[in-house]
Amino acid sequence: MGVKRRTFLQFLAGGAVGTLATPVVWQGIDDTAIWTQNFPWIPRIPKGDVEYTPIVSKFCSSFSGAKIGMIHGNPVCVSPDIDNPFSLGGVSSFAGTEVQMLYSPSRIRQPMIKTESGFQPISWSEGIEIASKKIKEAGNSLAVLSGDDTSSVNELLCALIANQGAGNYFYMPNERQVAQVAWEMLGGTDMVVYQYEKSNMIVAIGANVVDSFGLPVRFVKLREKYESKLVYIGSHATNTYGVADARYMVFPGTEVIFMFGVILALLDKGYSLPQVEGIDVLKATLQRYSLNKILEETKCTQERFDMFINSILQAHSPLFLAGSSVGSGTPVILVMLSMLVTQMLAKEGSYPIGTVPYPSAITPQAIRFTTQIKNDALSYIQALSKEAPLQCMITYQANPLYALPNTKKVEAQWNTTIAYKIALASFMDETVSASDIVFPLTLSIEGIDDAYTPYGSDKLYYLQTTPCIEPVCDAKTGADITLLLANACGIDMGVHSAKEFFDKKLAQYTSGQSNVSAKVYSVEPSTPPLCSRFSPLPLQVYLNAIPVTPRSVDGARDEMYLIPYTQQYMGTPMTSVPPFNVKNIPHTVFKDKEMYVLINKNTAGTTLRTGDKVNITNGEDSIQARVYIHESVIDNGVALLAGLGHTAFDAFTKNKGVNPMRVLSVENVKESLLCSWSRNTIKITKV
Amino acid sequence: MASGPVELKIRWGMVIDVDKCTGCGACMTACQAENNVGLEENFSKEHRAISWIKVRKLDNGKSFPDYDEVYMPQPCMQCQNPPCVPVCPVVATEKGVEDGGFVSQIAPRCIGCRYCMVACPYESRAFNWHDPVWPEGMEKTLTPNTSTRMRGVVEKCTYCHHRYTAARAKAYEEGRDPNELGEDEYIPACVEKCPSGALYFGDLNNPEHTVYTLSHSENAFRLLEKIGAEPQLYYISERDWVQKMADYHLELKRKG
Amino acid sequence: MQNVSMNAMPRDAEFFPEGVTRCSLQKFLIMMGVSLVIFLWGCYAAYCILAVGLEGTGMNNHFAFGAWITFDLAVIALGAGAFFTGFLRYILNIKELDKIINLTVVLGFACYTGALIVLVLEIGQPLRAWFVFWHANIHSMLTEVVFCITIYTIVLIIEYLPLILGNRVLNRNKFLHSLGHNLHIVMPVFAGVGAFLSTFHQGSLGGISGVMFGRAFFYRDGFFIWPWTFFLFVISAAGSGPMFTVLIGTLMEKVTGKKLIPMEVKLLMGKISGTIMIIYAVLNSMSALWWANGLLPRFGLTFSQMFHGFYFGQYIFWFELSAFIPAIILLTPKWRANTTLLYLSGIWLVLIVSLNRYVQVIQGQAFPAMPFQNWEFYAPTWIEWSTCLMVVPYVVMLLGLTYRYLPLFPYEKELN
Repeated sequence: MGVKRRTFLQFLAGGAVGTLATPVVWQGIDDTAIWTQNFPWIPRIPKGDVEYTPIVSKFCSSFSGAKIGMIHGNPVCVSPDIDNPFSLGGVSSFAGTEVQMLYSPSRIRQPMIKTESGFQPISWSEGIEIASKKIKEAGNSLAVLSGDDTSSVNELLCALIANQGAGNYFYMPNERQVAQVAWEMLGGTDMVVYQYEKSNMIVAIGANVVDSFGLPVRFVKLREKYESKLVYIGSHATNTYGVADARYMVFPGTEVIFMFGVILALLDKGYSLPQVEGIDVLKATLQRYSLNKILEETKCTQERFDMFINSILQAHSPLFLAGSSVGSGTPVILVMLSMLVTQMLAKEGSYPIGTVPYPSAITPQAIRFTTQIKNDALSYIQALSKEAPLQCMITYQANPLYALPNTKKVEAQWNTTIAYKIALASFMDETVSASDIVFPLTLSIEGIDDAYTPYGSDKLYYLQTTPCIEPVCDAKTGADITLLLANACGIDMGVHSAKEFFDKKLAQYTSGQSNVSAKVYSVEPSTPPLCSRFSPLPLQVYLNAIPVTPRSVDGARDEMYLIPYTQQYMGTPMTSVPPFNVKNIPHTVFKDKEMYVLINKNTAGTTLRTGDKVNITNGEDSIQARVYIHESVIDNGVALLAGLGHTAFDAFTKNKGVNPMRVLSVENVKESLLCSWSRNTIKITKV
Repeated sequence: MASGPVELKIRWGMVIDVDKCTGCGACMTACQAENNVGLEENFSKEHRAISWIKVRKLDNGKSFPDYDEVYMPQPCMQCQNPPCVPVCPVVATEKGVEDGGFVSQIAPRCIGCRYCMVACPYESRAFNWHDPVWPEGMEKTLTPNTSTRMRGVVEKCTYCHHRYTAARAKAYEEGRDPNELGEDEYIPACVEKCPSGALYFGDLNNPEHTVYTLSHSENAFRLLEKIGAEPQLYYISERDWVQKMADYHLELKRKG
Repeated sequence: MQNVSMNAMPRDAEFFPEGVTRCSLQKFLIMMGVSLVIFLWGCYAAYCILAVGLEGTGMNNHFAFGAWITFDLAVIALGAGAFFTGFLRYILNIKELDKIINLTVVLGFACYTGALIVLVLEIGQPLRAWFVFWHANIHSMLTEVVFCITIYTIVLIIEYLPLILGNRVLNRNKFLHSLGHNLHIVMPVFAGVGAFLSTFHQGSLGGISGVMFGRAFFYRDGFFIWPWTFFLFVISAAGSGPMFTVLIGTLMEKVTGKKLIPMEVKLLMGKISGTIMIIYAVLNSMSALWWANGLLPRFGLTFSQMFHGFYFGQYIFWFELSAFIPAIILLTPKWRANTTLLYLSGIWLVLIVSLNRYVQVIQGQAFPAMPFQNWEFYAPTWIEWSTCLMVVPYVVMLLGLTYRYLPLFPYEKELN
């Protein structure tokens, strides 16, 4: 029987209506919509309540007392702990990423050894055996470069190499180093702390105190507590500029000259320099500078200079904090002059500089911190020779191949004058990539570590981290790794485990004390005596590096100064920018995979416009970036955000942007004093 | 304009003191972690990455020594008369009247037409241009607070609404009135984490809350007051130029 | 009448409409093939979007609407010839328009389905598109747009059906013939429904920008819930649609080498466009004046602040206001009769309407809503270009197939 057309059509129509009357179609499209809410490739969130555990972490240099939120034993967030007496409820933008950084794509998850085909995993026992063999063979041609000057692990590492007769212990250039050397040049002893409560005005010279100098989180809270005025002096508007009560801009690299002016003005007002050995050199130098010359060089107007002087005269014991916009390379003389002026202006009984004892070692053979802190890493590396290479270098939490200036030279030296490189690090940075073997370190919430009076502290502090989870990968603490190496080298450190070591350290600092809370131990500082000498070397070194005549502002395009600056959220050279923080980077400085430098209208003149590509060179190395015209930089200044330009790490930051350290101008590459890089003349040419 | 501002008994709002903000970005990081916001490898492409709160930098356009700048964190304004709510074709966003004025955004309802994004002048809303990705292992750090979103939907700041419901639950458990929360009981993640204390949060209608006093100060202002959106977010600055920059004025010359 | 030997007839000649000639099947297939390739390239771009999301577009959180919305608005406006001509033919009974009504329908259908294809890509979650019907927000202009566009597309399908059923081979079937015939009879109902729906969605498309009270560039005062852009969009669509159809028809004449539309009909369409556009020109000027002097100052803004650089220059604004000129040309019989002026005016109107949509989408978003922002720029990527432009080969294929096999131009036989 043939199906008639009409019947067929009726069947179709009936079928359509019937189907629509069933849930099939409707449920189908509803299910489709629900499926789009639950794409199987998008992770689901956990269910349950978050429980908070108070911890101390040193992941960020601002040292967070924080609470780790955990769910089902998994850490999920970092929250403030207002009960923590150190961080006072502050968590920096970097500290807030520690939990996520546990799983950073750059995390080193097990020991690795370099082979022809790149890094290959290796077991702990094998790795320690190989590394310890290299250490033993190196004899005293052994050095350590540490990026963390607060940890007692330094003591263990120092003892390790000291047992081989080696004393080459270095720290990555940092502000504390400069401050301690300056303090010593003034006859000071012990470790410097800044007693903010004794002063009602903080004068930050170049130091970005609210964001990346010292302990920014604690500083911001203390400033509010003590209602201190904040004055900023610099050549680029950093974060501190915006919240300062007063700001004075000076030509790049003329902060020292500005301080000459301050001293001259104070002398004019009846203040006097201390009559100490060596002060005559300073006096003679000051005589060569008239106030007019100083104002001309610094580009500060008389009016504003007078305003500044009046303000510090009216303040109660103003505290001068000198630093570098990039967190390293401050000239020693700048800090000396700051400390001197602080002393000159201090009211009776209100000297805002205090001292606490240096950390003391309990490990046999560890060299005193006082000696270590003065060693200059950059000049050491640059002085190494191919003919007599260093047999073994151990880096601990340090990334010199990124963070040291003269980067090209450092890279070359690293690869040609050091026979074997052992890295102790958490993330695959440039230095690790150039090392021969790497041992993964735990983060603060995974493994125990400690910190003694981080720079910028107002008292003696001893903090121990409080791990709340097992390491998420096959990592160990720095102390554990060092002890394993020592053991394999047949060295007795006096302790057998990290826990034992840190228990002993805790006892060392807290024995007999009752004011230990949440593993934050503190001691009030002592008031140091006034400075007893003025060592002229830093001053002479500084002056010899510049011509006496001031530089012309209307100079050609090549009379420019690079001002590299740091931001908290950029992380450290050892972590790069955490994936959580890359969105913080403004598009005025990094856009469409291009780096931008900030130049003001006056500097740009008619030849440079926003978007123009320029080549920036210091004569040794060069980088390329685009120009962004912005008024936050002084004339002839070129501001460049530090923290990008990595050639290691992961898809978030690898090969993005440029590294300003490459084109800084280093002064004094001699081993008699710390190198500095505060007058970074560069040449700019349009590409 | 549109339906006009809704009357709210409780008006959850924020006051941000831009004179205190140091631009550190802790608020952005906090929000990112708290609300499971997707990551962005290609972050240098402007206006593509999702940030529920953005720290903007404003300056007065002058040169030294008159140059001045402030940092201005900008989450969602949770407007009382939101420009974005009436335009959504599928009711994926609504102005909550009973709970204190949240402008909610329901990702599973959103069809991704982005009309709300164009309607919002504050650029508070972000779109998932691709599926959110977390590096391997990092998905373990997702919080239980907000569901992960998917490609093709809009998302925005919710003043950490999950913390509000948690605070209410806690008050209820403890036998207190969940409609009378103290200003310490419910704090969004950004406000909690701000190291410089520039962010304040509370009930703008409650005289016992700090935000009430601050929002009535003579230095308090809102962005784009003239459009009549009635934001539940006030800024405070003693700087005249910042206050002026909050809106267009016929005599103000546009910069750039 | 051409004298063609049986051997030279194309192989598919039995499907051709009665009494007309067509080019060889090979030539036709080549033309269709080329179009298909370009169309498939667009499909590949569409696949990239559907597979990954809108990552590959040039839009961003600041520029949430881009080329697709602009294209949609423009193409729907130009496809308005369908509803307006239908209204004039079936409601106002202007029988002359029979000679062009089919083209307007097919073009309308092509434009609307093309716009729907682009819309599927435009929304981030196309699988949830039905939410607009199920969870409709009656306050939103976009709800209205989606409802009406979808229903109107169904109307267009119904209006297209008789044309398909008019195919010589299909028409032999009694059932299909009578179906087609009956549809013709009820066509006024659909035309009326179509006109009603179209008025509202064309207007709502204008309403989309006009209701945004948070953005001074877009916002317009209006009448009750409808901003002035609501009315301006309907009128500009009704005014430019007819001439767009004429231009496409003329293009087809050039390609096929035949006369397809009687000149009187083209002139009539021109007169219709001219009449509507003069109204538009007057109302648009009034609206612009009010916007510049009444509305903008309320937001603290001036007229000159609304423009920037080349892509957002003031010249575009003045060009849009120049609708008077083509309108007057089309209204003046002796100028209208000049084919150069006729077509030029048509192109002018198409440009005005397209630029107006561009300004109402792109420029409005480029303007810094907050004083501390800068003007932003947006550039579509290859994905947006290809998916928009793929509608062109789509239209070519559709018109090509329709022209070849269906009685698209009822008076073709007489004219050639």
